Amino acid sequence: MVASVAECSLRYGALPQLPRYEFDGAYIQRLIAEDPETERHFSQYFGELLTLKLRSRLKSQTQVDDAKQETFARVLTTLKRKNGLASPASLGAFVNSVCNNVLFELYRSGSRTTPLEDDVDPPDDRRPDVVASIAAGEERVRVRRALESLPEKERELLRWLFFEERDKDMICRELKIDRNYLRVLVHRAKARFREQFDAGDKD
Amino acid sequence: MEHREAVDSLATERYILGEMSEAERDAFEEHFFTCEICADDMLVADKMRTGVRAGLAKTAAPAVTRQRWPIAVVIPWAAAATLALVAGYEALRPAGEAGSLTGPMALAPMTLRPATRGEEPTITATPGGVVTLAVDLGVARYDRTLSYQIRNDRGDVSGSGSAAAPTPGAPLLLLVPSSVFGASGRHTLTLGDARGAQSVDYHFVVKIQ
Repeated sequence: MVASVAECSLRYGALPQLPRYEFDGAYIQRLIAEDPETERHFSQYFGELLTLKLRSRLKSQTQVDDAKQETFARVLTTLKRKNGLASPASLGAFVNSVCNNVLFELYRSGSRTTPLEDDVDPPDDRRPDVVASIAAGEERVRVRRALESLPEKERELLRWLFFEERDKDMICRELKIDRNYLRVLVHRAKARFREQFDAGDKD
Repeated sequence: MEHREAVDSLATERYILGEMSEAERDAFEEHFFTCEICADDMLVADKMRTGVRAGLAKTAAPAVTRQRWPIAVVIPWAAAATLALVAGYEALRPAGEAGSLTGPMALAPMTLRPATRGEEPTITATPGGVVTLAVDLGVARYDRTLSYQIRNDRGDVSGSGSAAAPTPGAPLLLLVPSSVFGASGRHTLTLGDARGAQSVDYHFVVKIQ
């Protein structure tokens, strides 16, 4: 039963559609009972974090999706088998450690087999559902607007870093700053981006 | 990693900039999977980064104002612009190459090798000309893009930019206007990995004749 979340206070600015949940014993029991709303929250919240983590370690989106699904399957299986977690608040740490195991096994199996060429990775023919597609489209618009509202200097710095992927030391030399200050500039850009992104949610 | 430490050390920024060691990255991931504040911060930072990577952070287009110019002003300016265009093309055309670009034109590039591989080559340039450099990438591998920078012996940067990485084994071809070198002397070309993981120096001597 998800009545306890009916207040819909927002837990995350970045995920405004996500209601607030506490990772407590009740949450885990709802997961074990396959409550659809809790399952949706669980897969959305941890799905984004897992994608973020896995993207830097795996080559293709298909591998990322597979590792994510495997992580979810193992977490849910374990929770059902053990009927919960000794410390429900450590659910996040548990998901992360299961993901580490999945990654470790992937690396091991990868080293025993001949890897395919990069371009052999078949296209992912799984189709996102319509609601997810619309949400992704809306979010893209909000991200674009938030980026457009940044001062030109900040946008240029972000483009150098993440689009052109320029060498950071060269950027520092060009801007006559050190690496610490580069982080500060990114921090400020991120704060401004968040402000604008959240403002887009209120429109 | 504790929350205070993550905040104080700008862990989110270092994570998205790829500046963390493997151990630090693991420790921070362990933290943000259990800390909703850091998780939220990471998701925002990732949206920003992903948006930029998707090309959503475009440069502001310069404002265009339409204005009618009197014909007496247009004609001399058009003539001057045409002259400048021709002169500019001549200046940028590789030095020593005769003829126009109506047919094939061979280039005679100077090969540069990494600083660890042999003596510094001497490159002869003519004022107003262009030097063609074939940069041997050696064992270095670049993912998608690489950045380059030319410095004189005082360390002043005279030219920089980025380019698509050549296919493995192929050299990087750089056309450099002589004006970039300024004067004769020792120069260094530095190629950098787009992710900042490596940089390779190429030393050479420029003689402007």
